[in-house]
Amino acid sequence: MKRILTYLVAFAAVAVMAQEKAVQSGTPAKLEAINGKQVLVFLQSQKDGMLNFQPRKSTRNISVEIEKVKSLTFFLKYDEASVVTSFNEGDYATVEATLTPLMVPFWDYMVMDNNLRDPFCILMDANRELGNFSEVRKAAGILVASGDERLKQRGQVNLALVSLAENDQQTADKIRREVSSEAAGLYLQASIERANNQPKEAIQTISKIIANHANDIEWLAPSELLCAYLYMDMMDTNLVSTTNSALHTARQVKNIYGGTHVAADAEKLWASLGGEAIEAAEALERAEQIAREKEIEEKRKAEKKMRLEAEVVAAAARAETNMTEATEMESE
Amino acid sequence: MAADDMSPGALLKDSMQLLEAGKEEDAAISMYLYLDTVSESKAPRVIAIAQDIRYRLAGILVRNNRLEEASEVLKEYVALPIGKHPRAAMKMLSTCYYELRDYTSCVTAIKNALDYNENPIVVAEATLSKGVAEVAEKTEPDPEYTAEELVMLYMTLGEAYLGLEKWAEAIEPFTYVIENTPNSQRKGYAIMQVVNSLINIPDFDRITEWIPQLYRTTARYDIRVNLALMNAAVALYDAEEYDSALPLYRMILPRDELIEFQQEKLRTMRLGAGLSPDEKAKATEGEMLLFGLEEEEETPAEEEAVPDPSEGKPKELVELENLIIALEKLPPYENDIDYRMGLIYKAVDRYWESLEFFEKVYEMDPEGELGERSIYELVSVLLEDLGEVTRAEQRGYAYLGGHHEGMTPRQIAYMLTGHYQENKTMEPVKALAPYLDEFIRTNDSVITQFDAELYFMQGVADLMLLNYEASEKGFKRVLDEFPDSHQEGNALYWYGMSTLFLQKYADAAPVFEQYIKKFPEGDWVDEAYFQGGVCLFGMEKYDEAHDRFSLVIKNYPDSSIFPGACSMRGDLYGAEGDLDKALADYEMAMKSARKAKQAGYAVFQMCDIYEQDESIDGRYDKIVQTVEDYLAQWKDEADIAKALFWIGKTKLQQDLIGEAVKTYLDAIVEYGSDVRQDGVDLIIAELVKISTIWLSTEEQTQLMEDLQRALNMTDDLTLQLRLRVIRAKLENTELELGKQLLTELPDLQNASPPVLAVLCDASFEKEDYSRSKELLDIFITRFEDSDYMRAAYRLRGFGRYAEQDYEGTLETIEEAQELYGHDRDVVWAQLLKAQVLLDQSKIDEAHKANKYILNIPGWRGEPVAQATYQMGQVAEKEGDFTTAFGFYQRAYFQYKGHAGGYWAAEGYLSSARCLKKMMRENDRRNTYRAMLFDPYVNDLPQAEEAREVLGASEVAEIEAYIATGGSTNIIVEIEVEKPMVTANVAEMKTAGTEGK
Repeated sequence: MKRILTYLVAFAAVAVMAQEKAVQSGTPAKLEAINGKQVLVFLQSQKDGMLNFQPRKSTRNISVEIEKVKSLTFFLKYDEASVVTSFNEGDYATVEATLTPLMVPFWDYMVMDNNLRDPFCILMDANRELGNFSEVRKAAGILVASGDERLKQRGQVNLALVSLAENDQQTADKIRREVSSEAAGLYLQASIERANNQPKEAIQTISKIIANHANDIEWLAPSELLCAYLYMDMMDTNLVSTTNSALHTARQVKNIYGGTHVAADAEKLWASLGGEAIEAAEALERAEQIAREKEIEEKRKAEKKMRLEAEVVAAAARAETNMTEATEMESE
Repeated sequence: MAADDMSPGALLKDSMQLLEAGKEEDAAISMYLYLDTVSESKAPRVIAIAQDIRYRLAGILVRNNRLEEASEVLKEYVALPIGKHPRAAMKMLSTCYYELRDYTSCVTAIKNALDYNENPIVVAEATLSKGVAEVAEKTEPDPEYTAEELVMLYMTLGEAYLGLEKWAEAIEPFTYVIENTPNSQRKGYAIMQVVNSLINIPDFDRITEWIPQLYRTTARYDIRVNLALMNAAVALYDAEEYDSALPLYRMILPRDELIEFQQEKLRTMRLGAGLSPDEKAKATEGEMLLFGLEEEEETPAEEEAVPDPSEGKPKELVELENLIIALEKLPPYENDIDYRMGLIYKAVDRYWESLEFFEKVYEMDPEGELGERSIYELVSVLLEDLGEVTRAEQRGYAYLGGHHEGMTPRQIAYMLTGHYQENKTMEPVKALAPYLDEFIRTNDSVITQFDAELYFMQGVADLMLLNYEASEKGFKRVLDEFPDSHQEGNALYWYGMSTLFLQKYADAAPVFEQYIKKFPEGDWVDEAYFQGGVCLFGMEKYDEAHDRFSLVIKNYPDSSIFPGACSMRGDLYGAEGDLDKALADYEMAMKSARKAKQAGYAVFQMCDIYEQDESIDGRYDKIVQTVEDYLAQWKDEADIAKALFWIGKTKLQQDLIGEAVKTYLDAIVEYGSDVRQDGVDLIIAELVKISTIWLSTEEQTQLMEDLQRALNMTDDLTLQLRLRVIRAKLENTELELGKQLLTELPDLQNASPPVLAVLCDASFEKEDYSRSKELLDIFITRFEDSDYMRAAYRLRGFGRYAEQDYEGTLETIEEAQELYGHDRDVVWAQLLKAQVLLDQSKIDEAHKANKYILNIPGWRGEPVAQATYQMGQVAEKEGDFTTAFGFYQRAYFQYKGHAGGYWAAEGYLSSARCLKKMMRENDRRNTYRAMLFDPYVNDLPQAEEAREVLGASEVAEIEAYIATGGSTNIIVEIEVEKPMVTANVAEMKTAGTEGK
């Protein structure tokens, strides 16, 4: 009997667990309300300004206004460092391949503050680099709808850049006028000018960012990279520009922003312009110069040593003579 | 009881009571006395108490800023056993040493502290005696340093190394801080110090690795970091490590922004320290509630709190206050940073970015030193690096318009001038002249040097523009206004050259002599010798010129003027008829020539000699050989058109007319687009001559068609004009073409000498002298050697005469006659000269001038007719009507066949006028009658006067008589001294018929 009872209890427990596992679907997350209260939930959906979820161990659907949610914390386990490294190395395909499947369950909630916005933005940027513009549009649209001004701007810029890439300059310009950051607006303006084959105008616009927003880390790096491309563009026109300008700009971006995807892109450009070979040649020349100087110095030292030795020998000879003379005199 | 008499126990108790009462100074005295009293004791318990007292005493001394004493006490404490706080003591000791700037001891103290922290037993064992060791073993060890304490120790160690200038050693402790501190600002500061160390080592490559890390820390808002960034950036800039310097400059925050940030931080710190947020205000209750310190934080650990002795402020707060004060005292540095950033971008060929920075600085500080430097750089980048010439000029001229003092306007003017010169555009250089005149002169030697240079360049520009009068004045100005300037030698030489170009040989010669005397080792001394020779040549001092060229040939065989000297001496030999020597000199010139032009001159002079000297065997073969050698040596640089001209001539001599025509036609089409190809102009004249003399009508037609075809195929205006002129010459429609071109061509840039000559002739025909000066100037400045220039001289001569500028007319005549001598087509000069002299009432001179014409064989015919008539005018003006009548009569007797009877008709009328004045009415009427009988003149307009005087009936009678075939024997005979003119009409008719 006892064994049967144990069996029944065990069965019931499995059934409950099975039931719980089956019913508790959705995206697990920790929800923090604006009053600071935190609760584990299974997110069901986000629509029309309402967040729908089930509390943990409950199948009851609850809806709250998004505005009442301070943030969400998702429990996504992935190698964040590896993704960031890939991104910063300019390996956008790996970033996309890694993050796209992982981010699927969280897309709907990116409009709210959460702990996955960084990888979300990285994925958006990677998609833009890869030319997956529809994906960029979707992601950027979500960021534009977010309450965070910085993210909204990032979304706007991405939308504008995608529009430009698709030759829709009108939309890009419209977005440019809406962007609140002056640096971001100038960056878009320069991008539009570049798309209009106005590299001279573009580089003057971008120079304003460099001169007047030198501490804007977010926009300075891409602005400088854009400069490198613009110098490249100008090489195909009758405007005065040299490969050196493009090469130096790419090299500086590579060095100054080392460890970022901008630096990685700059390095690709720099390499395509023969930067490596030039730098190697310069290093070789420097090394040869040092070797030459060293050789001269050693030669000088050797000569000095020889002179000294000769002087010593001569002095010794003189001393010996003196001694001999002195001895002779004494003998006398 | 006096302290000296107190027992150790009493002293101990006393010191504790004083300490509790807050009388630290007094407590310290008691503690010192106690320690002195027990110093000899070996009892472990006494040692332990003494150590405790030392530790407390050290704390008092530190708090009272008696750091030297504190360090001595702590040193003793650390050296002796049974201390309860060895780690804390060692840390305090290191701090004391650091504050005392005893960095060597500081380094030792920190190293000891870190060693002890790792292995306290080893250190203890080394110092303890057996009895004491037992007590020490029972002593509770103080806790190891916390991570924060370790960071601070390493930070202090790094700073101490920097104090000792041990840059390499400093890197490790700072690296520890960077790797272990959670405080972003501290991390940034440590990175900054690593960067400073690397700059001082120097090891610039490693700096580049650190900067991106620094960029990501919040240390950017640290005042010390910002100040250090500036120093580091300057060092990197000076070392041309631009990639490293650039981000450092960028990170430096604007002074006001930094002050604002730090003042806000200071407010928070003050509140945290229980002070009012502002120096003179008290904290409100609310502020204290919100920002005041938590109770437990108000009592920091005894050894860590080092309060400010004067105001009770924490040390960090005092430090920050001092830093803010220092920062506020610092003049704004943003412009300096922006300026340097501009320079960095420029240095790495990022010109557009550099431009923006220079614009920014100039906008912020247009009148300051940096503003001035920036406008200079700005114009420089636009002009020299970006090729934005128009924009550079706009900025440059705008600046020059408003700034007349100091160095910068001069530097900008100099830069613009240099640019124009480099691009060989001299007109804009002259546009700078008014700005230079506005510059305010100073005694500053550098500024004076700039002024001299700028004015010298003005002279050079005039010279290049062939405005020799202006360049002469310009170089003179440099010599007069900037005596002993660095350009004196050059200015003197080019002053001489300008004068020489103006053909003022007598003026130029002493200038070159002056140069030789003043600059015997000067750059131009060989040239000065040579040009002096040219002056002597021009002054017709041929022997002296010959000697001078010989001197140059002997002394300067490697000079660039050697070929010129050879050619000039060759010319002299040629003029003397010593053709062999002339040829030898030309040969020498040809072989030593450094420029095609030098070789060309000698070559074509040789060709001239070969052509003229019939005694030379195979002279045309020699011409061909010489020209071919020349072409082979100089290839594209050679004057191919002129060479072809000579080749064509040889073909003519070989009766290869068709080939010669083809050679010439091809040469015209090939090289006729270049307005300065005077060989083409020679060919044009030659081709016209060939066509007239050698070609059949069909061949002439063919040539005309070929020319038309070439004309249709070219868009080049210069070639088109040349082709049109050839066609006009072949069709004898030059005057029509000239008149057409006068309206077609307001700009004569594309007009070659034959075209200009056609324009001159047409103007002359129209008696339109308005462009006579312009046309002659073009010839003189651009085509000085062109044979077509004679047309311009004629136009100019008559132009000046029409203006009644008699002296000017005579000047032009003299120049023309110097150039063309007795050439028949320049006889106008002598005739005009006589006329001018007559107008000036210089009777004898006028008579002589006319008479001179009669003596020149080449001028026989029409010029003599006119001269004879003019001699009549001279006599008439003198009132010698008889003599005048004689010359007039000679004009109609002897020269009626010339000039279509014009001078004969004038002679009749003037004779009649003289007879009237002589009251010989009958003779007068007879003269008119003879005129109407004279078939050479009776249908000319002048005959109307005769008809009017004689009346209709007599005229009808004469005409009827003529119609019957009759002639007259009317003779008007008057005794004249000279010449005695007697003739009859029949004779005249015969002669006239022949002439006609």
